[in-house]
Amino acid sequence: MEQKTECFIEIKNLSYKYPDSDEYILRNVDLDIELNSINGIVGKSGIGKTTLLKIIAGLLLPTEGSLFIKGMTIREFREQGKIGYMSQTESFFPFKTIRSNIEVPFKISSSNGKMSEELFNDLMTGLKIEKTEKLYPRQLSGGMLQRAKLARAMITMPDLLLIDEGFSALDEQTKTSILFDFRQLWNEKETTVIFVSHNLMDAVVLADNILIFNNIDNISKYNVALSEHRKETILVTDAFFKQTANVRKFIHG
Amino acid sequence: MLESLFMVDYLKKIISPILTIVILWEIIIRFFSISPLIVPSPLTVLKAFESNFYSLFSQSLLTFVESFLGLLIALVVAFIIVVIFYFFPILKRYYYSIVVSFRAIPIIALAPVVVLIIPSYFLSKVVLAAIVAFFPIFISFSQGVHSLNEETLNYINIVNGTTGKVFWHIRLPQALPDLFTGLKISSTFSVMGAIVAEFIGANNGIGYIIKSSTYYYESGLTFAAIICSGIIGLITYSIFSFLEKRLIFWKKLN
Repeated sequence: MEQKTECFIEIKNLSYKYPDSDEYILRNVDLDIELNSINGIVGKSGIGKTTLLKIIAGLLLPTEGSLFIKGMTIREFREQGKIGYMSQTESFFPFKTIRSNIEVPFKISSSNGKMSEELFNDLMTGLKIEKTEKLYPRQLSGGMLQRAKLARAMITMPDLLLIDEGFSALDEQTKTSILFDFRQLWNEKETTVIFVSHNLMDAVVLADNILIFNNIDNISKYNVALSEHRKETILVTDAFFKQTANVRKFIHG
Repeated sequence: MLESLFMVDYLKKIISPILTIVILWEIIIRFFSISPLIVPSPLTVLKAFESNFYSLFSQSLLTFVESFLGLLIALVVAFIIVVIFYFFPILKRYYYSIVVSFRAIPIIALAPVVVLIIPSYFLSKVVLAAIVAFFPIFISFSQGVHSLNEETLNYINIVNGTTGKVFWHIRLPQALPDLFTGLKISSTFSVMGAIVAEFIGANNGIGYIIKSSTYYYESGLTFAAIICSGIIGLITYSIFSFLEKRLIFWKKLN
């Protein structure tokens, strides 16, 4: 537990606006993200959640302020190729089997690494998609496909895993089961996770910390006081209801 | 049993439209009393087929070979240019529109010059077929290679995908469906290119038969040759359609 207080990402006075616009999307954001924690970004749509995720991913450059990951700039950190990413809409390539799709980061990246069979099997089992290895994306249901995308995001053993609305299009039951399986897997593979979600319950289920976007310049951090090892039964406990209610209070003041 | 039933169904699909066309054709000729020198009756065409079978077959084969070779050359050239444009985007920015604007030149205007420049009849026909076939292949393949959605591009960016590896592992297979769309369009275009070349400067090929038979008012033979030219296009189209189904297997998966 001691390890968790170590700062992994340090964001100071960060502001962002699109180059051709005067309007800020993010303004003077200060944020610390602890090492090996799961962090959920929640807030109304259009408030800059995805923008912040893209800045952390190095896809957008902040207009002002600084962002350090493990004491490195994004560019330095990116060079190590240790970021995993999944979203709702990025493609799983229809012409590759699930196995080849999961292997894609090794095939296309500059690092020339090789996929670890052990980790591959671990992820397939942990995410309950062992039997899909030789199938093609079109042969999988939406839930299975999201599980496979998670496997692809984790196969490089990233230090930082970014998930942008990764589960929002799934039905409630499928989503909940994926969230718990993922949390379980994360307990074994520790990595720092930041995910964007518009669903508060998802955030409480999955996260250690919830970053609540109240405004472009006001992000508050809520520490979810639930056990590290979470099972689906937690959903009907008082503790869970209390945490969800607390977050709601946090959002609505 | 089931297979033979499918076969019967398939034959019905081909035979019934042909029969309809033939019957309508015969009715129109009789109703408007059209001279057989201009439009022959279906029976005259059939007779022309029978008496000129060998020459129609061999000349069709020649035109088929020319147009198919032209198509393959177009494919190779389009592939090379798409690869160059992909790896050197600055070249694409300056030269893509120039390459595409060549499409505006009608083949009929270009044909005499090509026939004049290339002394070999055979080669000039292949080249003209290639020129006509090039554009649909080039444009659709180029679009296929460059069509990845923003999220996928973000993903590739985040995992540090390199230009070369991304091309071979993702963009190329991704572009195959578009490439085949281009090939299928070009399969009939290339036959047209070869036939235009045969009209202008050749002493053989199905286009030459069309031209010379028209000259001698052998309308039965003209129509038989026109039907042959259609069949050549259809065969080339079917080859690519078959290959497409084999190579792009993932489209059928559920």
